[in-house]
Order: sequence, then structure tokens, then C-alpha cells
Amino acid sequence: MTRAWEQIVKENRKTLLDRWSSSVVAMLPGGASHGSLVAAAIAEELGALLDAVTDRTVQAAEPIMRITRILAVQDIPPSRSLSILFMLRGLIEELPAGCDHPCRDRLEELTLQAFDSYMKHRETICQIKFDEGRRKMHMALRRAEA
Amino acid sequence: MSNKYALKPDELKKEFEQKKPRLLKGEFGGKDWWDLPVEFRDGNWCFPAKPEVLDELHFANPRKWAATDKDWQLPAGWEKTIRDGMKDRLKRFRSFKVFMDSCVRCGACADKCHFFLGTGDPKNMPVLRAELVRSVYRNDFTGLAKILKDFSGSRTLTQDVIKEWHMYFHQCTECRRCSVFCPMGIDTAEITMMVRELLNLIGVNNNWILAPVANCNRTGNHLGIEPHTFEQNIMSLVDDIEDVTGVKVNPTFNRKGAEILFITPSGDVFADPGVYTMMGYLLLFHHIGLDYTISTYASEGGNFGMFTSNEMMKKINAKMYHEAKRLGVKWILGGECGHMWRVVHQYMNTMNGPADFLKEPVSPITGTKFTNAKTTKMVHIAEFTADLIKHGKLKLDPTRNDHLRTTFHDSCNVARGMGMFEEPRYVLNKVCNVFHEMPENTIKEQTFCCGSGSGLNAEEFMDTRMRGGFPRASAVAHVREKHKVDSLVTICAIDRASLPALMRYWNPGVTVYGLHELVGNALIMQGEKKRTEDLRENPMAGFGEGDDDE
Repeated sequence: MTRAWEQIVKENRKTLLDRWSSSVVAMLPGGASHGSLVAAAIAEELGALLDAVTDRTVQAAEPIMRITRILAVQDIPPSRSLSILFMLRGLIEELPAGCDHPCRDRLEELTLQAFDSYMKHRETICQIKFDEGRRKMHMALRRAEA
Repeated sequence: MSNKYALKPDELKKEFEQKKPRLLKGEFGGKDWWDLPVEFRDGNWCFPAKPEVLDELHFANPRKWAATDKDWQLPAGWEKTIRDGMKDRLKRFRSFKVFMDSCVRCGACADKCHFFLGTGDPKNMPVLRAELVRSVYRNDFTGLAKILKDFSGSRTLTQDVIKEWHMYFHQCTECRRCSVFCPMGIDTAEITMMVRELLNLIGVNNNWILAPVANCNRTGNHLGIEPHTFEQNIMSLVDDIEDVTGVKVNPTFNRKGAEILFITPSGDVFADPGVYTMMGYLLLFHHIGLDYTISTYASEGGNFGMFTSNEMMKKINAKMYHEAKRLGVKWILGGECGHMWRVVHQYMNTMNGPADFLKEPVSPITGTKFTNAKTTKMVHIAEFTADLIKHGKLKLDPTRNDHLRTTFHDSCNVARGMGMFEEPRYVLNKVCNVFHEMPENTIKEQTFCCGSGSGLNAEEFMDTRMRGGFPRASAVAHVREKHKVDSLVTICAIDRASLPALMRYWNPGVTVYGLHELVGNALIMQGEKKRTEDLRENPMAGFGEGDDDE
């Protein structure tokens, strides 16, 4: 009988998380250092996200929001940023005791959630730029509107 | 002492060739750090200065270009220009020479830079950022290092090196946090200042720095506001103050014979939320009956010349003393700003002083002598107000700020440049009831930069600003989660401009205030109407129409 992939992931949580964190951090510009604050912040949230991957009762929205907020302003293309869950799929498939498929659906679902979240952060950046322009011209706009 | 155990140079070189020590791992393993590619893309570069801006300033190589262009249209002989410029500065600035020679690569600075912490990019470690220029210095200015090229880490000046300098010396905000931890006392900010000077010699620059410099050079302030508009803006704030408090304050402009000349960053006169800090100053001066005037010519405390060249910094700064002399004041009072105070505190007296025509500052209200400002003749508003409060000269009601739960962001140049830690905290604690410090290693001399200082506050640079500001935002997040802090108070105009964006992205719900805005809220003015709103016209807690605030 094939064991559930969730169980295999839970049993290998630490190894998986270390390898996943390393892969994600290595994606940052210049081969980022693990000692950096951004690397530590991502690594911390990846743990919560991994728990949400295997257990649907754990909220994925919060760690996804935090991770994509960091990634959305890094110097890497969106496609690469959002590949983090595909990276996890590869790592899960490499685990001994074979889980030959099945996390795919769950990871695709979370990737789409991450896409939404990433876009929301980019939209926020766009809005911040607009508002900053308005704030700089505060008094001039006030006169114009008076 | 015998050195019989020390390796001879040829043995050392042989050992180096055999071991080939490398810092880089993974896909960059086997490469040198300078082999890492520099790639400009949206969000990681600032627009270059427009040709007309450079023409106006008589700066080099005006042209239309972008950092993403393959050819940066550098002027003919640019290598010689850089080398001659470097030679000249190594001779003129002893600090530059010392900082080029004295680094032992101990790495104490490495994880202290907010850009390194926020990006993880090794070239943002101050030691490695400085190596970008040291490697050229060793190649061109030191004999032995040139011979032992591999061992010394020297390299030839190329256009790629210029691109790398432009990228990474515009990811340093000259905040000097790394210098606090350097056992050799190296101030990376001064290295950045030198490299930016060199880049300006060949027309590699940043419009967000040079446009304000040109405006300041022409009209006296960063936005290029002309005198009548500058005055009208302030008088418009006078009307706002009357609406909120019922009190009519009476600032004067260019008035000869006033006791004090007040100079503040122009952001306080035209930008949100700086204008609310300006309202706070005006209320304070009215409250104590200060004999002061505001110049519409020295209408800028900030000095983006500091991010351009020593000569430009000196020229822009000179208007402060010139106006003080023209108006015949006794001394100068300066508003809340960051880099303005580094220029004033550390350079002004030797650049444009001595100001023999001014008096040693004495508070006309308390009689306190500001002996620390004896040479510059210019007093920081935070110490001026702290002294007033200490002597019981202000009627304050801190409950008027009870709608705010505050923390304090130390501005890099005021904290590390002036050592001013306690005065703003003293004032803040007297004008509001809820205050929580951020973690110890993120405040006072260890404060984290906002990520947008030194002229990097450009909108097109927003992604990089968010990365650079991540450490500061993380510290604010800490007190937000622990103490429900919702207000970030600061005494720097660039902070007031940049932190709202940073907070909105990383810590939505946290609002940025100037210190004197909160002073203005708390001041009980003679003849005021019942105060129900703060200076932003937001309701004060417990001061509504139906509330009993007496």
C-alpha cells in the first residue's frame, strides 16, 4: 500500500525544509547569504507554508502573503519568484519511499494563490509610487484643487 | 622579532595558486566576486540626470541615456578622467587614502548594512562594496599589488566596473551603520561620497539627486519653489492652524534684525506629511513668543550637494550663513532633518565658517547656552524644544496624542552623525503617553536607515528601496506585534517622505509623524478653541464634541 505523500513529507520535514530554503535563498541576487535578514525571513515563512502544504486545516494565506511580499520586490523575475512551489515539488519527488505524483494538485493550487498574492503586492507598489508623487506635490495640488 | 616562519612572497603566491580560495559557491563557484554579472532592470536603477540639469550645473557629459543601455556614452578618455579624479582625491582627502589602505577584511561590517540584510546580495556587504573601488585603486595606485595581481585582488578599470560602481554605490545610503562596527574606523559613507564624485566626472548620475541640486542652486530649495510661493505655502499652513486651533500664528519672512533665523528642509513646506511638522514649529514659536524669521532664499535645510561633490555641498550650504549675515540675526535654529545635520554639524564650520558675525546660541526663553553649537552657531530644534520642556516653559497636554501609539526612528545622520539620542525621546515622552522602543540593535547609534537616504528616494527605485528598508520595517513590525504601535515618529525630512511608503508596504496601518507635529498637537495655546482634531484634522481620542476634556 502506498503511503500518503503528506505523511512522507511530514516524516522528512526538516531535511525537506532545509533543502527548500537553500534553493529559494540561492535564487536571490548574487547567491544571497543565508545570514541575511531576508533569507532568514523567507526561511521562517517557508516552514509555515510547508505545514500548510500537507495540512489543509493550516492557513496558507498568511505565509504566502509574507513570502510573496518579500519576493515581489526582489531583483528576480516573477516567473522565477513563483517557481518556489515547483521547487518543492521536485524535492518531494526526490524523497525516498516514492510519492510519485500526488502533491501536484495541492502545489498548483497554492501556486495560483501565490500568484494572486504576488500581483496584489505589485499593485500596492504601483499605488505607493502614485501616492508618493501626490504627497510630494501636496501643497501644489491643494492650490490647484482649491 | 624573527619572521623565519613567514612565507616568502613567491611561496605565498604558489600556495595561493594551489588552493585557489574562493568566496563564491554554487553556480558561481570557481569564479571571482567581480565575475558576478550586474544587471539593470526596472526597479533597481534611478533615472539619470536630464541633459538640461547637467548643463545648468556645468556638469560633465550631458546626454540622454539609461542604465539599461548597452552603451552608456561615456566621454572620450573617461578612464583617464576617473584615474586623475581618483589621484586628486587621494591627495586631497586623507580619509579616502586611509580607507583605501586600511581594511583588513575582517567582515565585522558585513551583516550591518541594511541593503545587504534586505537583499542578501554579497556586493552590498560594505567590505565588498568598498572592494569594488579598492580593486581599481590597488591596480592603478599601488606598485606591489599591481605586480601580485591575483593575490592582491586588483583589477583593470573597465566600463563594466563603472556599471558596477553605479549599481552598488547607489545601494549605499551613506548611513554609516557599518562604520559603527568597523574596528579600523573605516567610514564607508565617505568611500561612497568619493565614488559618486568620480562618477559625476563622467556623467554617470541620478536625476533625483541632481535635479534638486540644480533647483537649490537656482532658487534655494529642492523643488525650485520661488520666494513668493514659498511664503504663500507657509501662510496657507497658518490658515490651517487657525482652523484647527483657533489661533492665528504670525511667522515673518526675510525680516532684518530678528533674533533667530529658522531653516528647515523644504519638504516641510510643500510635502505631506512634512507640512504638519511645519505647523508644529509655527505653533511652538508662537507659544513661546520667539523672535524669529524665515528666509525665502535660504529656503532649504537639506543639501543634496553632499551626494554629488564636496564643492557642490559647500556652495549649497553657503546660503545659510549668507542669509544669517544679511538678516543680521544672532544665531540659526534648524528644523528636523537628517543629512542637513551631518552637513551643518560636521562640515559647515570648516567649509563656510567661521561665522564670526553670529553669536554663541543662547535660548531667549530659558537662557540656556548651547555650547555644543558654539562653532556652527546653529541649534537643532529637538534640543531647543527639550530645553524648553525641561525648564517648564511649555504648556502641554500629552493626552491629545492618546490616539497614537508611538515608536521612534532615529535618523542616521542625527543619531550617528551628531550623537543625538535622548533629546527627541525626551520631547516625545513629554508630548505623548504611549511610546515603545524598537529592539536595541535597531535604534540610537545602531539605527537602521529608511533605505531611501542619500538621494535614493526616487519612485522608479521603489523595489530597491523596499529591500533596503526591510530591516527598519522588520523592527517596526516587532513593536507593532508586541505593543500595537501604529505611529512611527522621526526627525528627518527624507524619513517623512520615504517611511510612509515603506510602512504601507511592509507594515500597513503604521503612520509616520514628525516629532514637532506631535508637539503641536500637545501644545495648549493661549486663546485656543476647544481642540477636537489633531493637525491632520483626525479626531483626538477623548476630545470629541461630547467628550469632557477639561
